[in-house]
Amino acid sequence: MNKRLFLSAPHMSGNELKYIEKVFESNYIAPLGEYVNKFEDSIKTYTKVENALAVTSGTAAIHLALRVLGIGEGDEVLVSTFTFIGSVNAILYQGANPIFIDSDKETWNLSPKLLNKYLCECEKKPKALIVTHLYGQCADIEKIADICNFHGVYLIEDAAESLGAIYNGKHTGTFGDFGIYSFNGNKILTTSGGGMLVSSNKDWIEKAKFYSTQAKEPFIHYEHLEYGYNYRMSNVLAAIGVGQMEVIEDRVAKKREIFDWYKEFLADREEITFMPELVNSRGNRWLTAMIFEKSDYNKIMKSLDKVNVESRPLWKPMHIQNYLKIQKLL
Amino acid sequence: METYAHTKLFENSKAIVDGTSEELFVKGLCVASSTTMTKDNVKMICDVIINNLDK
Repeated sequence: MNKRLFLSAPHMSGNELKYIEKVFESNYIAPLGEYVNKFEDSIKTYTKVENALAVTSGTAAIHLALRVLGIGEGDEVLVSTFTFIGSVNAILYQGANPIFIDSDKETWNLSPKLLNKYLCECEKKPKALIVTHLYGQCADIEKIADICNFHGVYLIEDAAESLGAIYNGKHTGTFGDFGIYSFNGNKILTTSGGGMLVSSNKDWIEKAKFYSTQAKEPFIHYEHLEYGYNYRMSNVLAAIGVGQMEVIEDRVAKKREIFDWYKEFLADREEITFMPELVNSRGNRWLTAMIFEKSDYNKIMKSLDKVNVESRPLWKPMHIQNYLKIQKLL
Repeated sequence: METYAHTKLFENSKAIVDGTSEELFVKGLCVASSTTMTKDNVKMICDVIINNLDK
């Protein structure tokens, strides 16, 4: 059987192993070091964000953002309903309450109209919004940022799937108070596991760094006035990140080419609609996503699996996660 | 026989929804998009998709 074609397999550039060897030579096999710094620098250079913190996952990055913003029990956080649960988990970790906002047809991402409607009508103002750029395609982020700014709501961009996506010349993750990226095993770039928290606010990133290393006060002995987490990225994994960042634009170009191929071969199938792209944006097309107006996608998935090709349904919206259909086995 | 169970995950969460994401969820797929893939790979995949569409 032919080799399995995955949704998004890791794709090394060739330098990652070299940089890992450098880390081993330095003996900084630790959650700090030259390559953690280099990885953060490479994200800053690429996205033009001023401050970056390398952490263990995108989920951890969101958690730190909420913690730094002082969001916790009793607070409400708006979030895309059409997303991966990683976007939502940190809200639960902090004991806050998620409020789910639906998508629009123009972007498949969070609807600015529904967002604005809720914020104009709600009695209690939510503290923040976590907006996802799904499958690497930009949400209507300028509009969303304006709405959040107008209503005094913190904006956190979940750009876990959208590293490399640009809206009006500006990278996703750099429009809000915080942005996060993911370097999980299936992302456009991977460090096997990893994340990055970014912000134009230096103090916030410093505070996040403090929380990400168990909140140690600046004394030689370990002194704690607050508690933190163990969320700092490994220097070894950061070395992979540095190697990977050298090819981010190549990967984006390739993902977009793959999308164009799918469009080309399925062009005359009227029932297929591909995930759209806002006119003044360039998505990273992390996963080519499409909907079928009449056909049963289960049949398609099964047949693809038979030829060793991976496919998956789109994200199950968060607001229907509490409803689970179970097939009774006889 | 089908049974339904409710998990408590987002039991009490507010949702401002209009059916858009639910429609996308029941109709949509994401497909193999690895950057090591070739145009022939994508052609093969699309042939399978086309063969499995309703006539």
